[in-house]
Amino acid sequence: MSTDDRERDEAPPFEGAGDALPSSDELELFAYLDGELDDDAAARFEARLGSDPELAAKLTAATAIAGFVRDDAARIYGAARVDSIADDVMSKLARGSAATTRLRVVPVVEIAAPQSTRFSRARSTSVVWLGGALAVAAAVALFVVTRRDPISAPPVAAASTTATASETVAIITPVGPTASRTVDPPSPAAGTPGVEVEDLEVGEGATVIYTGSAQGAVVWVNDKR
Amino acid sequence: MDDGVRMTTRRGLLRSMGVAFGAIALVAVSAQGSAHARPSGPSDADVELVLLHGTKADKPLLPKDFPELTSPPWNAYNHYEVLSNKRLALLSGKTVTEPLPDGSTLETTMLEKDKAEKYKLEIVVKDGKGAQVSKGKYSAGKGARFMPVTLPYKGGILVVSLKVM
Repeated sequence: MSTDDRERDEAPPFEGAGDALPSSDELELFAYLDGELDDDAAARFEARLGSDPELAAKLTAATAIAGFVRDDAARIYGAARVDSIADDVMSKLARGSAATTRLRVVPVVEIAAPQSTRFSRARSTSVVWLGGALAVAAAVALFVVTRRDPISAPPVAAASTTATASETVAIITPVGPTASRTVDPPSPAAGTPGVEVEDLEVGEGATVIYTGSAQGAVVWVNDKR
Repeated sequence: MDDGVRMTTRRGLLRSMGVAFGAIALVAVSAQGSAHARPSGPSDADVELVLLHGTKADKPLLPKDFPELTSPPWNAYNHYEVLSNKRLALLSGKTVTEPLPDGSTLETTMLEKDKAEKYKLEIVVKDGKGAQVSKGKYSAGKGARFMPVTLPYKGGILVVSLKVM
């Protein structure tokens, strides 16, 4: 294999593969593959395929890659599950854009210095605690949702950054006017005189902290108007 | 009986009546005041309310019986002064309102006592304008201390601590 052949073989199949953004041709190609072009645009694109071998090659490559990804995901997760995952992702994106359920659960090691966040008493949100510490861990995976603003968390001493997993503090910070989530319960261990938090409503700007102990949870108001 | 003697007797009688009415009024006011401070009859639950002011200081101060303050998130402050310590006598379904030093109010209501001897309490904190800051239902057994709300206060925090007695 010559150097030219090797370079050609190692070159990305699309112009956009090594760049940040795909070209307009590639965008049109992806739209065609997704069936998003109207009839006229699709006909024009197909006409171009006959006269543009490079574009036809890209279409072949893209079709192969898409088929591989779909087949592999279906083999691993099952076709129905793949559709379900896609639906879940789109659903979460839709919810996130509506700014209704952006909550975040983070361990204590991620707690930063307090942010100055104005507290809105007119708005309130509901956080319902239902389960145990294991479920809180699961919630971390479920509730890692993109935030657009910094976490407003209570200050935590530097010593806490060495906290072990068992000392993990879960932070549930409601964002948006109607944020509402069901969160796992901070139930105390059996036999301990702990406190169970059944229902909690906090305003925007306040932080609910699960302390991982018999304390249950504390509403930490960051700032007052 | 001459007029002078009759006058003195009537004046004495009036004075005695005035003293008696005054005494009755005093007793009534006193009784009303004590009834306001403490509900008549036995309470359904007694809750200890302790307010603490946490700050950062060179010399740490941690009141005994509060080991939680050495753990996150309260260990962000190292100097805790007990501002007040009082006992709330709760009657089921009746809300007891306590003013907080930052101008907020704490409303505590005992909702029920379940079969496991746990007391379900509703805790509501409102700001000085009456707007709700937080509202939660807590189920606590006797002796269980919990600190449901922490508010900013005088360069530090105001910690609300409750314990069913």
